[in-house]
Amino acid sequence: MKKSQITVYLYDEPKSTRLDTKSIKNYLEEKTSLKVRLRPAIFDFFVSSRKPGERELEKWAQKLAQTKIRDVSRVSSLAPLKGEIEYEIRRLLDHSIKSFGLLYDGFPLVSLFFNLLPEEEQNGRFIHIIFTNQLIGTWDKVSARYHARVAVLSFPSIISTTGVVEAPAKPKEYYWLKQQVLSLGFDPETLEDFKKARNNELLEHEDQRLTEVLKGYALQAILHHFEDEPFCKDQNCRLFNAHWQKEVIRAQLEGEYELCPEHEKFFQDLKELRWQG
Amino acid sequence: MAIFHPVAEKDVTQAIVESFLTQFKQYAESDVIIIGGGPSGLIAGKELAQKNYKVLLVERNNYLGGGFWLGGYLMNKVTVRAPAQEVLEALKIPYEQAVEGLFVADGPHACSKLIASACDAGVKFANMTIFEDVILREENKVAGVVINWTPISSLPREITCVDPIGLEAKIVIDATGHDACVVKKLEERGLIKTPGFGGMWVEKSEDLVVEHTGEVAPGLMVCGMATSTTYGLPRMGPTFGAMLLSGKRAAEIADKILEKEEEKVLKE
Repeated sequence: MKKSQITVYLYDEPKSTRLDTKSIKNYLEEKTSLKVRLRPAIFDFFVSSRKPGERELEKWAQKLAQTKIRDVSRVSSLAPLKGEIEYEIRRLLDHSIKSFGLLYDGFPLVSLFFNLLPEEEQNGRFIHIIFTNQLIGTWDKVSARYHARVAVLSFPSIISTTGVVEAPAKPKEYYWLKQQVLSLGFDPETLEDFKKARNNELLEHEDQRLTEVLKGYALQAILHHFEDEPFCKDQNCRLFNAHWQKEVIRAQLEGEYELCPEHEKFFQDLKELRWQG
Repeated sequence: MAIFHPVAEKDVTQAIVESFLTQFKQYAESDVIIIGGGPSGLIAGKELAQKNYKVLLVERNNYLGGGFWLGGYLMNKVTVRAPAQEVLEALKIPYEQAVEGLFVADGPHACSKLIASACDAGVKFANMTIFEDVILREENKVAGVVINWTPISSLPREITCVDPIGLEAKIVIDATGHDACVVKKLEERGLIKTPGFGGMWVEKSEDLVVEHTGEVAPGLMVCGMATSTTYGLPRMGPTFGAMLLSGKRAAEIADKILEKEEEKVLKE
């Protein structure tokens, strides 16, 4: 397949006010020379293109509620309750509902989103990257529990704008302090002070740095389309699979270089191949 | 010279019995029965009573207010996050801003004002009363509750042969906090399956409690922390904003359901 035939679609998440998909689009075009197109949020796109009826929408909301992780220590198949389905319908249709905190099972979610894509785009000529403010997790067989993730790289890839704050661990001291606030009634302001003081080690919800950080994750999604291994072992490379917030900030914002020499070459090759296509 | 007017013991007894029974008889059938007298139940009751609905609130303890008297670690300061301070404002509860968007009030002041506002609005109370079961009608619609005296549950079985009684209502609201007693009763009967408490704690989980407040089964609504248990939402810290806003939302939804029911009856 020719590179020029590949189109990347970025799906917006209007609930994340700091997310600037246009800026991510420009970055991806500059790094890859692939055609990158913007689309509204995945469900908005689905509703406007396929115009589902009330019953069909309820069906999708039910499926979405079904992907909710109810217990991080076990895989569950409970049927969603009426209230959960109604919540999902409201959340899908009303952008002012910005609540998050529920964890959704990443792989069933990928499969659900896949079915929302136009059939003619469900193939390798397209790369779909969906931003969501939902928290996503995946089951880890070794530790036998779900772990929150920033992104699930698949077809389509999902990147969580809240996961980037909740999934990579904050400094250990933050959790000690938080425990003291919760169980000993310490002043909540101490947590806020901590966040301000250690700003270079953690991200917050609606952080000004969000878009810049997510550029690297979007690039990982593109790399995943071409390579089996979408991550880099170099902590300075934007493709590094960070497990701590400090690592996220280093790889995405403060690395010695943007991409390691190996991946810099990969994307350079990708660019040049485009002109051969 | 005596300060108080002379009254016979029998007069005192008759006054208590008569007043209690008149009210109890009247509220054997209510528009809404709320189980649980914590902040979410109280605010839901107040809002509904202000709309002239007949509201009975059942509380297992002698006192009302649930955990709203205290904040974390038994300290009697309660916190709410914006915009829940608007509720404090409306109830004329003094508060201060702790940090941006976080407000702190005296627990006793906040709680007593909230209780008073529910009383003033016309909510009636059955305290020292435990919820035992739900009354179910056609298609498993919740149509009331079965209650008993709280002390019954603390006595040895041999001397507690006191049968409960039933109270009917168009809507029952479960505001029993973490226990979600009413929802659990439906679960025992196999009519619902709840996931239980979510394990993850995130700072924004208060929104989810408000967003999930509503009808969980026909005739049964859930609000406050019972919402968390019912839907497996993340745990929260000791901040009460979600309780107040969840109670308000429960009242709004109950109002809509009751209006619809009324329209249906009028059409028939």
